[in-house]
Amino acid sequence: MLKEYFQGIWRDRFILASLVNTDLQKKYRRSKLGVAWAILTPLGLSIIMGSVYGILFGVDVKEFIPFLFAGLNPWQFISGSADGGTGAFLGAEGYLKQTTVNAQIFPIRTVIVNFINLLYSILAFFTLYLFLDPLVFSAEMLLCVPGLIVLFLFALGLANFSSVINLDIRDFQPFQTLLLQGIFYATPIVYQASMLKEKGVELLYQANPFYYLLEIVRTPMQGSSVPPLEVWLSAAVISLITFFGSIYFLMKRRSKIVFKL
Amino acid sequence: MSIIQLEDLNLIFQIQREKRIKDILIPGSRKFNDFHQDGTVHALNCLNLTVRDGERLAVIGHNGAGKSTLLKLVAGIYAPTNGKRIVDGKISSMFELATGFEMESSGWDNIYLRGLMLGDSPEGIKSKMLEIAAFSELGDFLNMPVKYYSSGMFVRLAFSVSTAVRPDILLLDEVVAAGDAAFLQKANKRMHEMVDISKIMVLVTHSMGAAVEMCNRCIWMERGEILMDGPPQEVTKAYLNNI
Repeated sequence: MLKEYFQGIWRDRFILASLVNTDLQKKYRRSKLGVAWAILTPLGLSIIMGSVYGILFGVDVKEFIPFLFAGLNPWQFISGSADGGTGAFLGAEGYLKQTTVNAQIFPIRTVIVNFINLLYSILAFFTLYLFLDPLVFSAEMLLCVPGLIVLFLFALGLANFSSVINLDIRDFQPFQTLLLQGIFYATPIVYQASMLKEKGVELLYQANPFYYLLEIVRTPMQGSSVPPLEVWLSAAVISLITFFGSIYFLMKRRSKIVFKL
Repeated sequence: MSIIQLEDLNLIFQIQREKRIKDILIPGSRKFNDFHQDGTVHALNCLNLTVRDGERLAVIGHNGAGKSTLLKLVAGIYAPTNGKRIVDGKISSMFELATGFEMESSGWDNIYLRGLMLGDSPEGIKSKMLEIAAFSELGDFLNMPVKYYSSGMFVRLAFSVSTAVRPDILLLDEVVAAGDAAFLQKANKRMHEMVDISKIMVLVTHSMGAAVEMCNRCIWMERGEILMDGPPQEVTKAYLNNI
């Protein structure tokens, strides 16, 4: 099953590349600034949110904007992938009903497109950081690379699940959107984890898988510290279970997909 | 050596029934939605069929007889519910129109993508691009996003790609009819050429003329079963008498 999954991806790797390429071009077609929007959007958003928080709650903007930025964009990658997954097969109906293309490439297609946008936003992050705090740059920041790989597998797992579930239960898409919105507020993204601790509800993030996955990308990106080993391990275990579980889930239903479109 | 072999093959569709909260709360609101009690459709019923090299098979029958389903099953798109399906050979197929295209992409990009989906390699399809473009006669339209294409133009594009990848087994579903007269003639010629190099073709059609002219074997399907199997002249005659 596992072998079949990866063999299928390998066989259709050129199709996948071509589809991803099309999606990326389509996204910024006929826009003057084009791909620059991929950098400008997260940059602008972080500055707006950072300023609001600075004025309302009196947080230190210089510290808070990088924190917000480094957490918000990986989060948008996760939720974008899960949400994009719901339409992955539905949008590929023409291909799945006409050719024997391997269905598993379609969730990957959405995740890769979202991932490339994440990479652009990280580029924007480091540009911004250069102006805010050039002294904080260090080799430890490179630790966000393995973090991103773990995060990618996790997001792909979510997309695999949502793509298959949404075929049977079309209500899943709006439900998932609501659920992710809830998790967004329950996870320390727009506020520090320490704030939950002060209120005595640290369990909210300690038992939250999303927290660990964000942490292994966010902390190295900020450059000031390295996440502890147990955070790394938790994130890796959560990610691998989700990923391999989703492969099993998807491949078991592989031959039924075309009938449900 | 290519072959299509189907043994005791069944395909049962599970129809997804729409049941909404409205239907539970308001009695009688489902009266148009209840078409089948158990929600299944027996699309192919205990089918046995063998098609060998050099055979050009026409599949005829009424709408909903299971012709297109048969074609998709041979292509490997539908998995049989039970029974044996052996298909040996490189398949190229063409089913519905105007699906399986990237609407925002140009004709060129779609030729490339479709070629890949039909199992060609990137180098393989790139080397055939000009030939495909020439055969389709779409000219400058190929630089345009395909969302502006007419159905005839889609047929030209799809047919040109499907037949350019040199398959062992060619599966066609009635589509050629949407092309104009000149293209139809050209398409017929190409189909003859393809069969000449000892390959299999399966053509689903409602045109008895096409069945007789292009094929050397014909099956008549009804409710997922093969009613008659033989030379096109005889089978089409029997079919027409039946109407």
